[in-house]
Amino acid sequence: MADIRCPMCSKTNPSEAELCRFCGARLVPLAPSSQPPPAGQNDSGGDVEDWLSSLRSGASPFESTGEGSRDEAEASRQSEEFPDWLSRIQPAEQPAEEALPAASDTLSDALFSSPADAIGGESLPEWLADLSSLAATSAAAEEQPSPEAELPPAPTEAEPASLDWLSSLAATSAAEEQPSPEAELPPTPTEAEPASLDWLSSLAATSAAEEQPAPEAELPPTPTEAEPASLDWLSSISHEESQPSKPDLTSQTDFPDWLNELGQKPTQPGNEIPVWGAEPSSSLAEDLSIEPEAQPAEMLPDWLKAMPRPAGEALPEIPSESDLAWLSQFASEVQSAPTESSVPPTIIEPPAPQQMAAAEEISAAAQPALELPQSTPSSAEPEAVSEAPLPTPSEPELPDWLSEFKKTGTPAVEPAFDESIAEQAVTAEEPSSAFAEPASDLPEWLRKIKTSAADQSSLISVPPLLSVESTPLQGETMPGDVTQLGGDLPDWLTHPEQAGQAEGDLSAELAPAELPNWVEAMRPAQAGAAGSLAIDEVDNRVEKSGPLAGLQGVLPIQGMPAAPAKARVYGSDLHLSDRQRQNLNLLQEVMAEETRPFPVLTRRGDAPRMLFRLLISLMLILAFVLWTVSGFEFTSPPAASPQMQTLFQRIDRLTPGAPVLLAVEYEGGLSGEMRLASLSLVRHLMEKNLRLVSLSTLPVGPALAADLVQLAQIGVNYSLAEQFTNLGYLAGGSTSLAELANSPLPRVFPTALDGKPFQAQKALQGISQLRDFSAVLILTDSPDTARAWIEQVQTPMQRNAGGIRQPFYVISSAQAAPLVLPYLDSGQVQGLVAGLAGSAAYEAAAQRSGPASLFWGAYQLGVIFSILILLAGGLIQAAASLSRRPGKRG
Amino acid sequence: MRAPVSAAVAISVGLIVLVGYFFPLEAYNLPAVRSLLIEWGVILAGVATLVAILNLLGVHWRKLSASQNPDYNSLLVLLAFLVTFVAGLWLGAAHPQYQKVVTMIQAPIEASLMGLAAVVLLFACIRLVSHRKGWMGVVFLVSAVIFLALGSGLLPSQGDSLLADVTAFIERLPVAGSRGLLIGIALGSLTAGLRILMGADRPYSG
Repeated sequence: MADIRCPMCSKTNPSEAELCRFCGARLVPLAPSSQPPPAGQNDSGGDVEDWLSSLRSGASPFESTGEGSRDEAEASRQSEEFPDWLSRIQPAEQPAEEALPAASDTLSDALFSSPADAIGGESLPEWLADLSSLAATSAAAEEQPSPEAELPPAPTEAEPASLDWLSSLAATSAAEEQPSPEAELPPTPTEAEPASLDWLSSLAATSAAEEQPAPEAELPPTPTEAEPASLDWLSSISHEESQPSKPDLTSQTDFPDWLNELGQKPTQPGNEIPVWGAEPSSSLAEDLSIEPEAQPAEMLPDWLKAMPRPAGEALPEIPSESDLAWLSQFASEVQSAPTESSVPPTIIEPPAPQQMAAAEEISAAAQPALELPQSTPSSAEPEAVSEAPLPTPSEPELPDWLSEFKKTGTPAVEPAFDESIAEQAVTAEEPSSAFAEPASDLPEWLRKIKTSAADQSSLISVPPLLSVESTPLQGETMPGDVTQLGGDLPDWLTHPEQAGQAEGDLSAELAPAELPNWVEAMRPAQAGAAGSLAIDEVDNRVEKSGPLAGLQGVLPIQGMPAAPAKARVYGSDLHLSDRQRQNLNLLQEVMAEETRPFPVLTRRGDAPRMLFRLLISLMLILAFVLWTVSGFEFTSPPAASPQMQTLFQRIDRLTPGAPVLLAVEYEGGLSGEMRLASLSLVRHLMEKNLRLVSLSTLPVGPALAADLVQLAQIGVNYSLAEQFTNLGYLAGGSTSLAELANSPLPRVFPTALDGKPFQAQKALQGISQLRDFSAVLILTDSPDTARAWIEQVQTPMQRNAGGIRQPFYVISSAQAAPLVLPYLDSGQVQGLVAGLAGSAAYEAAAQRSGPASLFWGAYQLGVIFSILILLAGGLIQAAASLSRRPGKRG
Repeated sequence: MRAPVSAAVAISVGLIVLVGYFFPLEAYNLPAVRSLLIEWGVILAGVATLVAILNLLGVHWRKLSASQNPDYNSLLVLLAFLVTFVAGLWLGAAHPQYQKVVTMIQAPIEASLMGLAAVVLLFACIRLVSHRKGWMGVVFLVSAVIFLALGSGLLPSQGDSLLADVTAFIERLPVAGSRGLLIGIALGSLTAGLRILMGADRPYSG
């Protein structure tokens, strides 16, 4: 189906659309009321309203045959109001690319419906053909061409029927002035008077005077029974039914048959009927596919009834001559209409008489084609189906109902719009004289249309294309200015403020909603609320001072900033709090202290220290000299303890020549103490003529062992070469002791320290393992070494053949003695000589003097002096610390 | 050696030696294996000593050959070592003259230093009282004096007198402490050995 062009934005929309998808304008006018016509409309009124019913049904005269079907129920109802010959009047085929909008279809359908279709597709009666000739004649006689509307010439018998006259009718009706309030009946067409279609325009003018114009398409009112005069035109036409004239339109293949017939047949005086009133041909009826509407016989006028109908269809009654009187009236009423284009696009003015005459001339010339009137390429007008460029007729007098459109429609209408309207073929104007009715008698459907239009205008406040805030400059047009679109625009488009006001009024009438408390609590605080500024809505206070003195409703001075005063001058000083000041002072002190030169602390001289050291040295030297010179002894050497006695006895009981293992495990630093502590015992072993075999796990052990033995041998008849063997150094520490305990000695010491083989050593005769030794004497200054020998050697040693495990004797320094005593107490060690005191005690047990006793006095003097130094120094330090002042600390 | 391999070797050797100590199974020749492993350890210890000596020589050589601030004392060390080494090779370790290096040089020096250490300790004890004010300093000073007196024989530890009994009692106090130390040392040694056997400690991995 062809697209519909929006009257507002001129954009194409689908045919089925009711609203423009671009701008939202309504494409399809509101459907008329389906209510039956008001009371009072008799059959004649029903006959007259037949064409109106077609308007309601929205049947387009330019629709194709296949698309001309309407709702039969609605059509049948409408047929009761309008004569069939009007409702069946349809123009030729509508162009594919153009289609009348639905709003215009309603009216145009009726206007452009072919009379042939209205009567079931039969040829036009002669009275219609006469009407066309009369219209052409009257059109030529009148001299009020409408410059805006191009009314088609009246069709004549020789002139193929043209639909241009229909459009001219519409233009004429639009250009007509307001007719008199009275119903202006169309003049009865006479024989001498060319059939004029001005009756349609007069009808429109008449109805316009009686009705209130609606912003949308306003259909002519339905004629009532109280106006029998309005049907004169129909009655005037009825006498012509005896001589129906069929315009010869057969030669015109492109036009509807009824139009062609109208043009061919000559018009007869008195029998001039509008072209559309002519008896349509059967082919035309088929082309236009106007279904005959079933009308009750009592509703059809006589002339319509008398009209020949196609087979099976009832002919519409041809109006009598009196009924067609209104047609002649049209001739007189055709005037040059103002070029206002307030006519809604759906309204088609009847052609002017001169236009109809021109149309007849054209048809008589057998124009090859009668194009349907075409709308000018205006901006936003629904284009009519007609294509023929019609001569610009004089603007006919607009009926009242059409003139009302001027007032309420778009004020600024382009002239092109009027031309487009004038080009439309069939007038949609009501036959003013025939169908004029008072406003109170408006059909219901018309009233609803007006009501809906009024409501719409009142509710809709903002047009889609207009901005309320935007105001066009002088001479300029805003982008959304719909007024430039032309045409009769509704109020809500042209005056949005009015619509908004109406909406405001409407909203004011609304009762405020009662919101629950929790919803009220969620109401956002509005900026500038009344409470923020504490401004009463009704502020009756009058300002008394200041420049606004005497004014009412001024913002109160109180609470607001005082009069402009001199700005406060902020000095460059910093305002510090007490805490900040304290921190600042602290920081300043720290910074000052960093830069403050520290006084060099005068160290106390080293003289006291040096003097003290010198004193100590002199004391020690004195002790040594004193002892050396006088042999001073503070106390006697210690007596031999029982344990020492035992040791002496065990060693004394050793068999002479028995091997004794001598493990020299002390370092050179303690060699002085160890030598003094072990000399007595080693000498005793030598005096017993025991074989001494020494070894050591320290690198310096063999050397110290040799030194010890040589020192001990002094004064003793002992042969070191034969009775002493120094095995040397045993590497591996405690690991080697474990191997020594479990491995044969020759394997551990293949050679002695002198390099001679193990078996070549005389002192090692008969010795292969450790258990072959009679005793093991460990000389150590370290408790770890003593522990290692005890753990690694003493434990795995097996008992000798006599069942005696070899004794372990330890000679240790005074510092290692406390850690060796547990082994003595546990029995793992059978004898312990601890330092110089132990050696002294051993000598006392042996009852011989030895080096230990010799150096005992010196040792005591040294210890005594040490004790005295400790005590004195401690006391002095304590006294000094106690007497030291707190401030001088650090 | 890679960590897993060295750990495996250490653990296996330790377990064999330990089991050989507890279960000297002659059938499995376990004591021989244990002895063999110990001998290898002794050899490695001896080699480690040589490595330590060489390392020491290297350190002193680097000090001597340093571009900045060479230490000329290292020269003396190296010369002494060299002389001693040569003399030992020439005279032998058992030669009395060679042994005088130890008995005449090393031993007296060390003994002198040890004597000085005694004096230093004496001074440290005096300064301890002034630096660590409190009862611990006094107690330390008093205990030092007492045990010096006991060791010097100034207090009689024998006899039937009360003083002798007190002296004897005081002389036994260090033994109690030493026993605790020895137990702690033993337990620590046991734990260290077990950690090595379990692979928790790997002092050999570097």
